[in-house]
Amino acid sequence: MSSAGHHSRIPVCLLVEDNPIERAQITRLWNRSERKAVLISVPTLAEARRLLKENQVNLVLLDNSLPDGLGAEFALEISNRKGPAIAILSEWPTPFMFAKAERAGVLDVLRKNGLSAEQLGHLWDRAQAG
Amino acid sequence: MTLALTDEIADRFFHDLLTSARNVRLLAGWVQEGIPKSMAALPDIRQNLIDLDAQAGLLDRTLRRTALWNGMTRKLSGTTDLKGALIRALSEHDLISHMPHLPVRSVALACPDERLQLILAEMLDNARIHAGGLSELRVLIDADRAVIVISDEGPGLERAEFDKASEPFVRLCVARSCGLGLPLVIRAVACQGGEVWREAPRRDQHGLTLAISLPLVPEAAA
Repeated sequence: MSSAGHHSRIPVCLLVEDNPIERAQITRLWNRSERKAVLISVPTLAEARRLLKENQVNLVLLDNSLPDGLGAEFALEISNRKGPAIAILSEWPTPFMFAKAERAGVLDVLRKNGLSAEQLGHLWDRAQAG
Repeated sequence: MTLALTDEIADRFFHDLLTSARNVRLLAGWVQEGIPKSMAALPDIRQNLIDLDAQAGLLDRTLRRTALWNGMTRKLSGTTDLKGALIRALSEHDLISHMPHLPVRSVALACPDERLQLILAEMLDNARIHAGGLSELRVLIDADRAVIVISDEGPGLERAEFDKASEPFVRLCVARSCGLGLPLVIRAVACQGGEVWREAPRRDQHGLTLAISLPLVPEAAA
């Protein structure tokens, strides 16, 4: 995991994804989107929690099924305070997930299959626009 | 009670299956496009194909076992020689060499071979695939019942964990289990008028010891 401390003035996008293959693919797409922000990835919600406590993050990209919980529930947890914009990435978005995502006020629920650099870039622009 | 794949359980299976499928798809794409800079090397595609097959197999087994469970509503008539059934089950699971001298005499169980083989298969599969192997097989014959005891080399289950694993679709820490093995054993044994329990581990033992009892055919009828 990269440390976000020295990037404190650069906008940060936090990716929470436990699958290393998926992480590499999203990182590749993120780099292609050419947004002036750093992407930091962590594999668990516990690490995401710690990172969010210590750093300012602009956008959180959340996988839904993680080793220590569900992304959609974590979105509900962190949406209670003034925090970063949230998007959920899923291969298998279900109606339950959409309901939770809506309650958490997430920016979008994106399917991993067919995810493009353009979609990620557009998502980042929406997060920046508030 | 009829089992059905609820949305939550189906989500769990489809998530695992689709994740494996997606990994293979991404890796195939990387072969053409080049490996992302963040990866030191291309992950093993064969291993990911094996994972995909395993996930598809797990879903298939789950659907078959769910159908088996739903069809298991009553006691089946028929009898089986216990010793012969144990030899068939152990051979089927490549475990016969572990038990060259079966500690059992021939007795007739009030359970048809088809159902007894299902029960033994689930018990032996659990020991062999999920719990490090079979460590002991004991058979006790009472006046009216036979008790089959199977111990494995796994980490064992505390009483509360055992109770939890007795519920359908509960997977403890076994990623490639459908969570129906023990519940199927319990249901099949109960249908035949028997019981299933966990024996408390001996001091020198760490695995799970699972015991089942099945009624014998009354001597006059045998």
